Amino acid sequence: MKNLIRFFVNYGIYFLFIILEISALLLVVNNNSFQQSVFWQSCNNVNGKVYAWNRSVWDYFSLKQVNKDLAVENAELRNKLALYDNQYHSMLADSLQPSVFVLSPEREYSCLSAKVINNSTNKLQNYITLNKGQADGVRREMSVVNSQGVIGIVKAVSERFSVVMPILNPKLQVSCKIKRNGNTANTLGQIKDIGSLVWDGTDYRFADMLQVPRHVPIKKGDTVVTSGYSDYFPEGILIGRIEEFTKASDDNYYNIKVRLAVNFRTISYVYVLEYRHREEQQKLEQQVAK
Amino acid sequence: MNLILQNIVRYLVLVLVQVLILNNIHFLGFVNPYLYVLFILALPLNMSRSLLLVLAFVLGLSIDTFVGTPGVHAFACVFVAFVREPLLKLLLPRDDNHELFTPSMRSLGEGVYLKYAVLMVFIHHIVLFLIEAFSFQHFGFLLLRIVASSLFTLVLLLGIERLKLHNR
Repeated sequence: MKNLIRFFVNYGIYFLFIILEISALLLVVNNNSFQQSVFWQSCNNVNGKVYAWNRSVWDYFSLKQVNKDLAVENAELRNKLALYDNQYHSMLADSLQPSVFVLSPEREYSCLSAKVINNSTNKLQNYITLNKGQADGVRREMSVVNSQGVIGIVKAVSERFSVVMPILNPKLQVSCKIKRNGNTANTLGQIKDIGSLVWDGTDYRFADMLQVPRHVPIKKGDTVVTSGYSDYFPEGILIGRIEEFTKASDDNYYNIKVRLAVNFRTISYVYVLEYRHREEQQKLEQQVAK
Repeated sequence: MNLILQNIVRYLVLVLVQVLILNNIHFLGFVNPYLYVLFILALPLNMSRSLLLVLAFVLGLSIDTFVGTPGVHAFACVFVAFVREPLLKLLLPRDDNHELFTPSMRSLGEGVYLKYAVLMVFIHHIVLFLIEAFSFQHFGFLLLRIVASSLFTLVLLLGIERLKLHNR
């Protein structure tokens, strides 16, 4: 005890010095937005670099699967291109006024490809890190998809990296609808009802669809796609298929389990979609809400 | 004049002069003297070191509240207060008995005081500008700012000390 007191008497001045300097530094970092941003930015950059390095090693092991996915996507795109080409030419032939040709709503979205450099599926709140950031045009709340379906939305952006909140995060709710007999690529097919999709935090292959009233006729295997009613995702992007559903006797809504189209454990390349008129839409909606 | 009262008055005057006049100089757009550090230089020699640190912290914080940069000046002040004693030990003759006197040009002698002031002011400014910049980008410009501002501060500080030397 005596030694301890003597220790503090002898070295008290150093403790005081360190305490005062640390409190000054805390003040600096907490209250000055510039230093704060430098502090966190550098943290982000360091983290991002480590993740990028880590990912660059692991990438080699999934090359085969990636190639396969790319080939499938290529084929799909070719099909689509052929379809549009046909439509366009038939329209040109049909109509004397090509000026009434309407761009599909998907044209309002511009697309940016990015690579996943960090990913988790086994936590309660999962996040995905991408190798594109502010410098490449990624902004907060942009939507992220890949060739298989919906991934999530961008939650945070630094200069060169961005963090996506995927469907596998219970904080994200995606507005979606149930469709039957329809190709996912276009909006054909019978729309059954809309609801919202939330992950329950357990299995990365399944998510729950909420708010579908029990009078709606649904079937196992029905497609779930984005509804286009939120300003995040364009309409009609595949989310998954209905795996099973139950009716509880005391509830007005179904319990629907959806098998997600995206295998979140193996995602590698994704597309970040920017909805060009999002700000305008939000502004208008806020005006009305006032 | 009572030593405590003297220091309180010095504190008030220096903070006000710093905030109201010196902070608005911006000579050439970036050179700014930080004369308030004179308060730490002139605190009595054998006062408790902890009190010295706390006083420096308070001084820095009061400047910070006016400038709106919480912690920046406080950090630099505490740092310079911490190195004051080792520095003085280095500069003062070893056999000197440390009485209760305030370091000034008169009590220390011109040569010693000049070294003391130059070292203290430079250390303070280096720490201050580094914390403010918070990175080593544009290091050349940062160095220029440190040197220019330090020289400006030193001119003012030594001028004041010299006036005091001749008036008494």
